Amino acid sequence: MMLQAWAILVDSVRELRSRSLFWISLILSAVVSLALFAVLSFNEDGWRLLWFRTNESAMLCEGSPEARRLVMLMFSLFVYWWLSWGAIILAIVSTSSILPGFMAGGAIEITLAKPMRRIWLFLFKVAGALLFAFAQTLLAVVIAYLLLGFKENIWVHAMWWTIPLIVIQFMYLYSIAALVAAVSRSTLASLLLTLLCWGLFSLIQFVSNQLDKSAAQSEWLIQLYDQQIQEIRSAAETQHRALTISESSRIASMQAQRDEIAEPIKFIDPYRKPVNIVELCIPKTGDIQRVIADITGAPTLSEALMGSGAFDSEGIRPVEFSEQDWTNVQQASLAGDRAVREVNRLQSLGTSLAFSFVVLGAAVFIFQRRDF
Amino acid sequence: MPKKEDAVTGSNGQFAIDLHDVRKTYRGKVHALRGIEMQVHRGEIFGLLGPNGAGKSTLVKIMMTVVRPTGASGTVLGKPIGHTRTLAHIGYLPEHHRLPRYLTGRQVLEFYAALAKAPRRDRKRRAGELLDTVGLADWAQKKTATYSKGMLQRLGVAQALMNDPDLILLDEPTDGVDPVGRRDIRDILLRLKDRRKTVFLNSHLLSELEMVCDRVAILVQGRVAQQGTLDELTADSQRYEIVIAGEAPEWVGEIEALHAEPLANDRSMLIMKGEDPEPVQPIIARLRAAQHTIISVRPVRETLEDLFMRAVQDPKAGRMLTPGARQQGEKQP
Repeated sequence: MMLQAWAILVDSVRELRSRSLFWISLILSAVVSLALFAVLSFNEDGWRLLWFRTNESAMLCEGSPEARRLVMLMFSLFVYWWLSWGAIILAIVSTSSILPGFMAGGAIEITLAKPMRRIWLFLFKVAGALLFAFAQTLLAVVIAYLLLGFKENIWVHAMWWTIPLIVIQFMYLYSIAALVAAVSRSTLASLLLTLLCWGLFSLIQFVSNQLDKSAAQSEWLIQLYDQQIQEIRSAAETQHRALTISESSRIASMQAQRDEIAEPIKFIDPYRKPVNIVELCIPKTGDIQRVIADITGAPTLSEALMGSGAFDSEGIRPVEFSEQDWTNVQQASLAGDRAVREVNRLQSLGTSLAFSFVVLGAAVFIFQRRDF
Repeated sequence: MPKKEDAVTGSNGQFAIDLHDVRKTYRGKVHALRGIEMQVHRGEIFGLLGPNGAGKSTLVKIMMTVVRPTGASGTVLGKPIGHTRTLAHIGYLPEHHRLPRYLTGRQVLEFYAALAKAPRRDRKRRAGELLDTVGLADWAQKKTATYSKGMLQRLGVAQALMNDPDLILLDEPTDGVDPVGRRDIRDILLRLKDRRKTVFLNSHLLSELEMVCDRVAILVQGRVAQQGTLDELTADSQRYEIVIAGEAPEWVGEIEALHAEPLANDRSMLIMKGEDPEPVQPIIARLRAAQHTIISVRPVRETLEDLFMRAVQDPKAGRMLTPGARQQGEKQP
């Protein structure tokens, strides 16, 4: 069977090479990667773009943690916007015709008449399509890894995890394309339904994340108010006295704010569990970016902005917020981000892969039983 | 695919294909095959004929595991129908085949040979030999997207032979091929027969089949209407035709095997059934004795086309048995 598997994979490479979208996508991956990681450079005095003059900065200079943080943020954005969105859309568009073409009348008869079980024939063909995502992620990561390593002396070995993870993300979606192809043998149906499902999965994840984020932010603020109220009461108890009028007034105010914050949670809570259950059953394409960010130590955009001190500026703080309140809001926002970003890798990858295997299993079942 | 034991027929050594009660019903409504019984001897060229929609391609596809039968028993190369590993010894060219357009002719042959588990060295060698045999040696390195229909057909035939199969099933192999190409393909088939290979041909070109086939079967509405050698199938139709000037003599009616047909221009034809020339001699002698002028005496037998037309026509209604049409008086299965 190894001989046949190898023949199918070699054939898949030849098929991909014959597609102009494959080359366009590969060149775009290389260009985006080069543009992102070759344009910015750091030296002892600061940073500069291309060959322009150096912008002096004590913070953003060669070897500084902020410089590393910035390039990792760029990597994170590169993974988010290009590898897991742009490149994958191109990959789906380009590979959606592979299985319908393979199952087209006149072509499939010759292949099925060879001494190979249908299940392996189908799965190796799917594996061949995954090579598309593999090839372009490999190229992008090699460029990013070598540029950051040699140019900035930032060697992020964990970056290599991006390759299997992006291929897995592509597999989540391609399993749907495979099922639609096995049922309909139509490229258009395969492409449209895959993109539709991806959109639906992203929407469900977005809603789930927003619900989790809101809940986490509210819970953080509630805890904060509870803690502050407790502190005032404890201070009075320690001094063996009753609460002063001003303390009572503060506690009442905080209690009111706490209740105000708790109100939306009561509204959200009935929806959170069902949405989370639905999310558990679908492939979590968005989690891949977070897992990559976690593994490589790259910050999310909001984390980077918080860390940069941009929100500390007085100019940004709304007038109705006191300095303390504004800090609390920022901290709550970070707590919300953490709640969303903290991905249980095993659960996320496990349930998403389980979905893909079930869908792929259904595709194989149909392919095995159908007449051509 | 149904897995049956080898001893389904007990005659595996003699037959390359031995089918019993092969049935296929699509979506529970369309009866494509209604119990096929067919035997193909090893080392012969066998032709399968039938009008469009008779179920010829479906039958071939069932043997090649492309279509699942509703019911079937029998063997192909001594193994039950659907035995995957046996496919390594079978070559197949489907009708209206599509070869990968992104591969060169040589790559196509090597790819399908690899799927058929042919060793690498054999693949290289046979690809070169077969490209030469089908007249595509100069096109070996060109993408098949640039090939004409006839060239694709030749490449398809080469593809079916890449694994040096013992049984070759060709569905309309000369479709779109020019006369020279047809002769080449015919020569290839005859060479295969010389090497004791079994060839199963599915074709509409009756003259082509007549030239190469040892035995034929005619499929009509999912059933084998006739099966055998051409001599066997046309035995009933063999006769001698004697054309004489003037009216046929009255004594013609006294001889059971002889009957007369009036012809134009004051001539008559006497038809003597049978292939033996001996009974014809006394008739000729009697005609001469009666001073009748004998214009011609010739042995006549049905062509494959005559046989085919007879098989595919409803004898009662006198019309073609098209797919789904039922013979007069036949009940819906």
